[in-house]
Amino acid sequence: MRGCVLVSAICLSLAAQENPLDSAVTFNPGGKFTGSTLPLDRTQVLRIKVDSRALLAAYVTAPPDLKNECGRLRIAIDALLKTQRFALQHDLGMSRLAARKAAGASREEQLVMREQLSPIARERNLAFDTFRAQLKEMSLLDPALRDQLVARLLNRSDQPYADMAEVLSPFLKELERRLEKPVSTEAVLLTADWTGSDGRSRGINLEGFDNIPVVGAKPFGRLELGQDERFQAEWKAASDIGPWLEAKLQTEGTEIRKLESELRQAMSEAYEEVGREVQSLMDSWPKEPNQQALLDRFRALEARVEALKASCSTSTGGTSLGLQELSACLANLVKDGQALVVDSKTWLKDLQESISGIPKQLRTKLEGPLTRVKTAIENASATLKESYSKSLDDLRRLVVEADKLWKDVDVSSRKARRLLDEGGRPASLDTQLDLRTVPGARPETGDLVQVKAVLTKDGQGGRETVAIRVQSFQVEQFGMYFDTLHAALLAVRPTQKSETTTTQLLPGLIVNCRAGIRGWDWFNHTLAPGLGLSLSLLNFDPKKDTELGMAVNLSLFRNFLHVGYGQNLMTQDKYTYVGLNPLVLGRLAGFMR
Amino acid sequence: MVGMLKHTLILPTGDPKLAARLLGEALEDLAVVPMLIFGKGAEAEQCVKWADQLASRTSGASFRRVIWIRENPSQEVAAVLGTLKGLSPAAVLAVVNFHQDVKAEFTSWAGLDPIELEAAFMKGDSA
Repeated sequence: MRGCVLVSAICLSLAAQENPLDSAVTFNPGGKFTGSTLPLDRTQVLRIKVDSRALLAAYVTAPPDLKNECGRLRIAIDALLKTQRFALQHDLGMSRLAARKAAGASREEQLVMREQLSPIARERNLAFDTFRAQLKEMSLLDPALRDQLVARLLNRSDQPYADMAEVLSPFLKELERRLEKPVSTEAVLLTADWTGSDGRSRGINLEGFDNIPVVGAKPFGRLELGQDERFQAEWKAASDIGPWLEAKLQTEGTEIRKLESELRQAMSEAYEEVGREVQSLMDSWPKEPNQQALLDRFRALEARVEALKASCSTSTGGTSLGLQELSACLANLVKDGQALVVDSKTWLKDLQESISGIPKQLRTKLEGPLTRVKTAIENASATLKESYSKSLDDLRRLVVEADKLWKDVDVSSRKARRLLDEGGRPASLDTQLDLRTVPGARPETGDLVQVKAVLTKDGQGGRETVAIRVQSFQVEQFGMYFDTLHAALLAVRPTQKSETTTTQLLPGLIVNCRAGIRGWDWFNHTLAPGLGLSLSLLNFDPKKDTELGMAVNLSLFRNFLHVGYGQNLMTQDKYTYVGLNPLVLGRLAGFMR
Repeated sequence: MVGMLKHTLILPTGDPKLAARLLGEALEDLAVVPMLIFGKGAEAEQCVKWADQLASRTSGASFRRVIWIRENPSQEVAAVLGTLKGLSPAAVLAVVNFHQDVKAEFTSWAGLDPIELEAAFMKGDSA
């Protein structure tokens, strides 16, 4: 049972994650978006790429002379290339004829050969006449370009007509570029609608475009402005980074300065305290008088020895002290000397003890201030570490964000440059819809998203719709995924007990494992099976306050039907249940439609 | 002004018989397309120059020839020209095909340019 609970907990945690969408489709003048499903992926964003150039070129209204000139140029170039092809064939035939003539072929034979070449010559002449006719009609052709054509013709390379076509090609490209310019008079409108499981539709905002129910159609000019706004917004965001970074550094700097000040103060206090303790120790140092007294006694003893020596000298000369007196004097001297030695040893011992006690005293005295310094250092270190770890993380995030931002800015900048270079060509119509912005609903698999593109142009009676392209997409998730739902379950207890009820309508929480398979639309959206676990608050036994039931659940038809078999975790009784969700009928009906 | 002409036969004026013979041989040559240019003004010289250039080929032998008849045709030359089908007396430029049919003809220098001369030469290739 614990295992079941663990599994259900894992299922719940997995199912609690977003079911994101990510896809990209392209809208082209062919009338269809590429792709038909919105595979669920990392984000719930559908990117819509609009081939604006092709889209608008299909409906462009250009000055007739420009269009005609382009048409003439295309025909002229084609004619020249055709002329060249037939000219090469004809020249080959003429070379053969010259060879036969040199070999002594008769006039009749030569005539036959010329006749055979005549059809090729006619085709060549026809193509060249086409070129000449188009050339005469060209009103926009630069006279200098005509001179270039003549120069290429007179130059007589192996392929003079192809050379002439080469002269005309750049001019054609230039005219085609001019032909595309007037697209700014066109207007395009893209809208998107989301149809939820209840079958109701609502508009979804398309970035850069506005929905029909919200505001009216917006022409290209607005799109260009929108591009500018996005560009400016990106720049603004980029420029916002500077002050933010500065503020961040300033905050960190203040913190560091504060820590530094605290540390310095702690060390200064500790230093002063150490100084005081050392001074105190010095004050209690063994006093000098002890030493001086010993010295005095030593000198007195020394004087007495000297006096004794002098007495001895006198006695030797036959005067003064007798032997007994001398002996007593020496005995006193030795006694005083021994006493002096003993006192000196005692003094030395005291001194030695005093000196050996200094480190201990110092340690005892300095323990307090040193501990405070250590604590201050540790505090500062921890604060710095924490602060800089956070700052480092912030900085890393900032770098990533800045990098992304600058990439976006770079892209926008290149777009802007391209727009500038192309002289007013409409901005990119690419857009995206974010299903996360759908108010009050969470898109699920099977929902429909309809994107509509409306092309309009200025007509006699105002703006006229040129073309409408609509395509529906179905929100889809492929592979295995989890789905959580609440359901009303009619539970049945198989075992009959007089004091308990046998059927109950209960709320249940179901965690289903589902699978989406590419190309299996009926399986994915209609049958839509789900297999998982359910948790229900049972109330079969009136004597028990809480009865929790866990069952294996099978859901079918997009959660329309649930059946399950499980166990009451409190009473160990088995039970089955069946559940119906009538609201799903709307979803199924919506999908069928 | 004309410069070096590589593919042009300038008919001699002092020897009508020779001129007629050279003209006849040139018109009989089935390996080339002859272009006849009449007159000796600046326009004629310009046309001869262009036509000579157009008769050139970068590689291989030329399949075109220019015949410049500067003076009024003598009786002998006129007799040869008379064999050509469809030649107008007022023509200043004409191209003849291998059947001696006049396929392109201009009676005025106006409007003549290398492109028109090229088209005229091309017509001489067809029956």
